Amino acid sequence: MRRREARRDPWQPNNSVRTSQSGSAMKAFVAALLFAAIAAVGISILLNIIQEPSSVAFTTGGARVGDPGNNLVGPNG
Amino acid sequence: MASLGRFIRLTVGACAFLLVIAASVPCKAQQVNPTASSVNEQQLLQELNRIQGRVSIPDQRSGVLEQPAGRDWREFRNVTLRWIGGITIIGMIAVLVIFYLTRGMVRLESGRSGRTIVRFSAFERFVHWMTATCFIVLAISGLNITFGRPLLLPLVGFEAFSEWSQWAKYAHNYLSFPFTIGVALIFLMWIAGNIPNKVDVDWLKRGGGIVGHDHPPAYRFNAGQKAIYWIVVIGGGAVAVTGYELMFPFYLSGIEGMQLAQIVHSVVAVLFIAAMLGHIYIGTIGMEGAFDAMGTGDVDLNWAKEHHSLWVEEEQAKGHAPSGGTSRPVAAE
Amino acid sequence: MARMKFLCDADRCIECNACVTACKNEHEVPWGINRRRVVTINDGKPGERSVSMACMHCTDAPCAAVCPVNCFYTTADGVVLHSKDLCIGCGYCFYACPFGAPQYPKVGNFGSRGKMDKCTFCAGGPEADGSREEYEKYGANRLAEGKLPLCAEMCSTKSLLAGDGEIIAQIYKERVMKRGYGSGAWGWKTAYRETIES
Repeated sequence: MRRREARRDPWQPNNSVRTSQSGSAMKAFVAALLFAAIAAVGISILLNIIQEPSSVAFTTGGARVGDPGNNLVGPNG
Repeated sequence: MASLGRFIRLTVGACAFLLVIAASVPCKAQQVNPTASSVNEQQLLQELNRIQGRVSIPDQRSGVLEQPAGRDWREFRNVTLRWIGGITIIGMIAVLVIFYLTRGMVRLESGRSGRTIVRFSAFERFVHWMTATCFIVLAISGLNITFGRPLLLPLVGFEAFSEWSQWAKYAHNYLSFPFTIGVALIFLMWIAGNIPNKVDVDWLKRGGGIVGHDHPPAYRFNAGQKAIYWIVVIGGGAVAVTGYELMFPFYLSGIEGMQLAQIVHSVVAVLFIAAMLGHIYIGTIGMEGAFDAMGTGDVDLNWAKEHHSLWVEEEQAKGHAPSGGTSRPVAAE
Repeated sequence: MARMKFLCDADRCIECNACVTACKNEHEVPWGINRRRVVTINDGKPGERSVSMACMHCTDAPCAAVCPVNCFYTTADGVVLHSKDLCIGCGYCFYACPFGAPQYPKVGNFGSRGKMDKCTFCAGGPEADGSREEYEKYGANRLAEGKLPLCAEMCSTKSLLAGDGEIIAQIYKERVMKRGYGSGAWGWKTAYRETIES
């Protein structure tokens, strides 16, 4: 199926092109869903990269924190 | 001599200082009372509604010792917001149901012509549906935060509800970004057709065709659609700004600012949801032929003439639409 | 049944931070998580006071009231605890808490700040008392061993009192009576809606 014939002559009755029209309607909708999902996943990855653990954020330069450990904060902390 | 003068000045100053402190701290007369000059919790709370001091840990925000304002916020979240949200959303649904039962679907009075006119391009529909789907997910996950605990939690149990809420929270946070992009695009894309003008006044005076069977003339967007546009742009902008303030704590404000942001965010959001219910209603079962505009992008010429007569004339002048054909709707003079 | 409370006698607190250290050590609290902290008000000025503050285990706790997933519960001792299995890390308790008690493993983005952590009054969590899981998620459960919170136990000036609210209020009242002054039980009005008349 080629791209919707958007430039299709609007003068023509559209009874015959119903199916291809609904196909193009779906295309814009599916593209919208895809873009939203990709944007959301992308931003979540980006935010997780720039996010600091508290053990890093609340440490002064003089402190030598090795592995802060998982206690109380869990393995993802 | 100079030193004596300084001594007197100092003594007088110290006495004045002590007097001020003694006057400001009403206290039992004690012979030795170190607390007479000490900081007083009630007094500090009355002055600022919060108590702040110095801490020796790197997290300087923990220097806020007490801020009882959370109690007002709690009252808002647990009582006020639930009333506002419940009344506006259920009220809107009730109005729509009553309206549908009395008025029914707004029919195409001249029937379908079989000829169409392009109303929204593929890109416009893409932006609309991206914003719309994000909005629906954001609305459901947001309502879950406010209404989930009393309504859904008793039905599904703690573990299932927590699991669902966790995913809903992630969806809410991350889908806010495409939603914001969508609102920004909508703002830029349709601003030209959405500046209120004199035609809108007439449209509103004649009830927009919703109340009666009138079809007041309108350009590409009628007053009702312009209202939706500005609700989306202003409401969407407000929820985006306050939402990001909450999502990135302490970048913009402290706790008190976040409490305020949550209040604005949630109130605007429930009003937004109510408005969008109306929008969804008119776009689907409320009006014959309306869904095509965002569905296929092409609307029936008769629909366009009935609801957007001036726009059709513009398009015809530009050669974008078929001219003549079916008779124009009666109401448009 | 006892109603557990904290009371910081600010006229005795010398900002030594031993309570903070005791807490950190007892529960192996990682860097950046501050279950307890000492705040000095009017530092360096006449009348300065230091107050050691953690979760006050409020009566009708605001955190529990606003939690969207209802993960908080109050023990028979009046200690406010929460389940990290249910917590979704949304940060609402943090907006509601008058004392800044909730702590999160990560800063910034609330979308993934991780499960909230806070003072447990050394009473562990919903897991079995003294179990390894309980220690890893909530720290030591001293209450189950018949001991009181370590911060108060270790307080060198006995400024920080922890225990049955009536008993510690009585101790504080007697102190105030004896020495003739007292700047009040900090946070009590907000947390328990009562003050100690002296």
